[in-house]
Amino acid sequence: MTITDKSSVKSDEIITADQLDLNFKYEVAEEIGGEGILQCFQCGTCTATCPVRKFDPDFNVRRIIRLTLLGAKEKVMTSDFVWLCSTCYSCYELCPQEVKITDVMTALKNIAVRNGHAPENIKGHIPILTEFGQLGEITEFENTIREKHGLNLIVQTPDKVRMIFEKSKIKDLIEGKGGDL
Amino acid sequence: MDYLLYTGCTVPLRAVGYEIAAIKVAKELGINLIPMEEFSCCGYPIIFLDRDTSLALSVLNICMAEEKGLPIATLCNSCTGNLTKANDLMHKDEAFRERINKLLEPTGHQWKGTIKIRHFARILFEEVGKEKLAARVTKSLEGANIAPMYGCHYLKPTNIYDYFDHPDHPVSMETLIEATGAKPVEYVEKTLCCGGPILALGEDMPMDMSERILTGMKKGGAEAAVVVCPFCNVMMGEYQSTIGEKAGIEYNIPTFYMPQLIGLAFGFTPKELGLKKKQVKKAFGDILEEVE
Repeated sequence: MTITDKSSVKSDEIITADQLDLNFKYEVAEEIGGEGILQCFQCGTCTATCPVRKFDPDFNVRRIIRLTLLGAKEKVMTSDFVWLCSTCYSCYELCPQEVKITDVMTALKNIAVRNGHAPENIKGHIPILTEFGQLGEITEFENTIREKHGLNLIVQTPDKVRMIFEKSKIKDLIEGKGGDL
Repeated sequence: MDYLLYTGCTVPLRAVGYEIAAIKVAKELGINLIPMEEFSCCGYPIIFLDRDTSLALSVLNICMAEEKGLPIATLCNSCTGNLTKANDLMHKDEAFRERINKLLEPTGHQWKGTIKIRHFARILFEEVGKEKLAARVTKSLEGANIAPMYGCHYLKPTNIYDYFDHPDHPVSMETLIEATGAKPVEYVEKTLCCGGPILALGEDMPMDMSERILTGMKKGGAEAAVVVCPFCNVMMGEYQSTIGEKAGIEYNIPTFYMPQLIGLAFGFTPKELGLKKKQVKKAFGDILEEVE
């Protein structure tokens, strides 16, 4: 590949200054858990240790952080890759700058949600938790097995979960009512 | 020693044998795992959506345990992580505490900061110890090679777990395996993520991530694997044959929850530990001669 050969760079991947939101990094830094992002010096330890990146080179934590610091808000918010962080904390443990990357990734996801980009499958947890208070229904089937083994019977009580959901307005949040994109 | 047993959502639905075995083994060691009559999801599955709402669910459960005056014992790594993180932030971060208290207001519960949260495997490692466990063993698993699989939130982030074990070179699960007489398999993939938390976004990535771990176990000579998280077992156990087919490898590694492994060494029958006889025979048939 010569220096003028750009065949490996897709044109939609080139970032130009007019696409940048210079305040984005401060927005992330103000988000709970996002504080550490301004400390990143781009060493790439996170990417090197990431078990997801091993199987998907597009999921590059250093690049996500760099794009955020540059201000490529829309690119970060609308891409699939923020969602691939499995919260394993490998990078969190090794980061020499204490960026607390797992928390930064969660902050990015939370901002994306408020801007209407929550994946449907994760949004789907909210109605289930509202109905049962847990991530599934405990039926007579489960309780019969429990009884057979001398375990207590589970009675699901979702009332308090519903109260918290109402107070935090999570149902509005996941529909993107609360963002600014 | 009394603990409230917080099972979370996944254990009663997909891993009731883990709960059965934990209660049995604990009792043998003088620990009462008392069921929580009222509990809800720990909030981990919705941390991607909204961190405060997620952690408020954890604090709600901590409050309910505090009112009983007992610490919490957990079985699931993700529950352990979310509950411990929430409790830690409530202690350390005043702004967080204020926001969560507001979210909790309608429930009538108030966080006091009086209890600790411990994974059951950590209780076995720290509060019981290898010696006391080994003394209770009646059917040694000597001769078996067992791969420990840690998962993520049992150990990490280390700053909320008082650095009780090393994030890259941990020893707590090996110590418990050794107490049963078995030999822990050493393999570098033992602390890698199974991909369970992103399973909702598609199977391919978690299957690739788990293949790497299973292949490491196989190369290390594992005849069985032991896990401490129901989601690790979804990937290592439930998905094992599908992953093997895709990779063209026959893994043949039966998976057990730590209390089930210890329970077998204590002389409990597979049935008493919520296990299938066939699975125990496959892993330990030549060691445990009479599997009831």
